[in-house]
Amino acid sequence: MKPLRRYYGAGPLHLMGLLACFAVAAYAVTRVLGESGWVSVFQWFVACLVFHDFIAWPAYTAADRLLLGAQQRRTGRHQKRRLPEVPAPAPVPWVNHVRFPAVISAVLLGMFFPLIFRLSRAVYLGTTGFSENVYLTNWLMVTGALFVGSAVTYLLRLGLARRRHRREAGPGAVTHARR
Amino acid sequence: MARATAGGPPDRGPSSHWKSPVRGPWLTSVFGLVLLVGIPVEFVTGLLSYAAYDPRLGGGPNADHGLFGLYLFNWVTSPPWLYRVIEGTHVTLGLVLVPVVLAKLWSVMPKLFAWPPWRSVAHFLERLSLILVVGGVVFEMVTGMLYIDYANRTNFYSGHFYGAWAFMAGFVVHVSVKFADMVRSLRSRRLRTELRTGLAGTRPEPFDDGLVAPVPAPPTISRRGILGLVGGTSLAVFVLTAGQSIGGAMRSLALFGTHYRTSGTGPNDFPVNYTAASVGITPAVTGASWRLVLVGARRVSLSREQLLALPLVTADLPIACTEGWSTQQRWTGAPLAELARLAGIKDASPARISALDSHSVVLSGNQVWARGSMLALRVNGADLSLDHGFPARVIVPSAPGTHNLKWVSEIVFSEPT
Repeated sequence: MKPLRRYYGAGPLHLMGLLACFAVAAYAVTRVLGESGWVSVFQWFVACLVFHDFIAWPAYTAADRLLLGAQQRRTGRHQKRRLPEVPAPAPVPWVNHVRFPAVISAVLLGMFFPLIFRLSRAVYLGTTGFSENVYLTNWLMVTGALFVGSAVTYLLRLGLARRRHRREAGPGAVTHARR
Repeated sequence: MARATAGGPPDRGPSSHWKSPVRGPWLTSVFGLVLLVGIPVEFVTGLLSYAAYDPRLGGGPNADHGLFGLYLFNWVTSPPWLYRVIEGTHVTLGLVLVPVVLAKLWSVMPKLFAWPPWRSVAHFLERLSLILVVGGVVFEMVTGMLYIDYANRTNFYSGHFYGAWAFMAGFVVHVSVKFADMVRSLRSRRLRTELRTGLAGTRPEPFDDGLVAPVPAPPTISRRGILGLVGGTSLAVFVLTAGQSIGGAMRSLALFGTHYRTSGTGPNDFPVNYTAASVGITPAVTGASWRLVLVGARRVSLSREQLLALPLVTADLPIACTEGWSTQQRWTGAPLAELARLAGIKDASPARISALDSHSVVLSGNQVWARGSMLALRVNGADLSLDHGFPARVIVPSAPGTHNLKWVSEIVFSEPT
C-alpha cells in the first residue's frame, strides 16, 4: 500500500470510491447527451457561471461595500456632532436592516424569475387558467413588506437603545442625547 | 483543520483578499449538516416520485431509465395521500434548501481559488468530483425551478433524473471525505452560545489554512445574524410556496406558487391543470354525443347517463401534480374495476386510457382494481366542469396528477397475463 499512498496521495478505498463516482456520473451523462436540447442547457450553464462570477458577484460585493461605507460615514458624523462631555449612545448599526430584506428579495427574484418576468406566459395561462402578470406585483409587494418590516424593527431597536442610554446616562444627558 | 483526507503539502490557505470574519469551518459545517439531512430526503422523494409514474408501463414522459430503473416497483395506491406528500415534500423542501445551498457555496468560495490547485493525484480527483457536487446541485435546483414554473424547454424528466444520479455520486464521495471534518468543526463551537452572541462578541474562528480569512475585516454581522439571514430566507420561501401543497388557508399565501388562486368558492373552483381551452376541448365534443368506449373481452359503449346509473362510489382524494401543488376534493364516479367487469375482464390487469385531447395514460392492474380508483363524473356534489374533465375523468389514489386523465373517451383493458 505504501507506493499507492506515495504516488496517489491517499488509500485504496479513496481511489475506488472516486472511480465508482466517476463511473456512475459518466453513465448518467451519456444517457442524457443523446437527447436534443441538453447541449444548449450545458451552454447556458457555463454562461450563468460566467455571469455570476464576473458580473453578479462583483456587483453585489461592491453594493455591500457602498452600504458599509455609508454606515461608517454616518456613524462618524453622528459621533462628531455630540458635545464631548456627553457620552454618545452606542449607535445601532443599520446596515443589516438593509441587507436582510435586500438578500431575501434578491433570492426570491432569482428563484422565481420565470414567473416574475412572465417567461412562460402562454403555457402558464393554458395550464392554470390565470394570467402570469400578477407575480411582478407579488414580488414588489413582498419586497416592500420586507423593507417596511425591517425598518420598523430598526426603529424599535433604536428606541430601546435610546431608552437604555437615557437610563444609564442619567436625567442630565437626556436633552443632548435627544438631538 | 479543514484539510481534505488526501495527502500532500498543505494549502497556503485563502489569500488576504478574503476578509469575511464569520466565514469558517463551523459555519460551513452547520450549512453542510442541514444539506446532509435535506439532500438525501430530496433524492429519496425524487426516486419515489419517478417510481410513481411507473415508467415500465410505458407511455409516460419518462420511459427511459437504463440501469437506474432497476429499483422500480409496482407503485402503491394506499395511503391515498402518499404521492401528494412525497411530491409536496420534494418540491417544497427543494425550494427551501436553495438559500442553504447558496450560503454553503458562499461559505466555501475561497476553496475555489485555493493555490496550488491540487496537492496530489488523490486531491486532484477529489476536486474533480466537486464539479459533480457543485454543478450537480445547481443543475438540479435550476431544472427543478424552471420546470415547476413552466419555463422548461428540454426533457425535464430525463435531465433531472440522470442529473440527480450524477450529483449523488459526487455527493456520497464528498460526504465520505468531509464527514469527520464536519463533526470536528461542529464540536468546535456550541450552537446555543453562537445564538446568544451578538455583533459585539463576534470573533473569527481560529485560523485553519482553509476557510478562515488570514486578515479578517471587523465583523458587520454576527454568526447568528448569518444563520438568521439564511434561515429567514428559507422561511420566506416556505411561506410563499408551501400553501399550494398544504392547501387550506395557506394556499392564498403561496404568492410564488403557480396554483394559489381559485376562481371562486363553487364546487368546481379548485386549481386546474390544463384548461379545456388550452387543449382544444369544446362543449361540442363533450355533449350528448359523447360515449365512453370500453375494450376488453368485449367492446362496450356507454353514455354519461348509463355511467351515472352504475353503482357509484364517493371518495375524498387528492390530485397532486409533479410540479408540487395539490388539492383534495370529494369525487363521485364509477369504479374502474366495475368498468373492467363490464368489458368482461375478471382479474387485475393494466389499462390504457385515452382522452379526447389525444393524451393517454397506462395504469397498472393494481391501480385499476384499487379501492377508490374511479372514472369520476361528479365533484363536490356537482357535475365536473369542462376544465376539470367533463364528461368523465380518471381519479386514482396516490397517483401522480397526470394519471388522473381528463375528458376520457376510451379504456382498453388488457387480458391479465
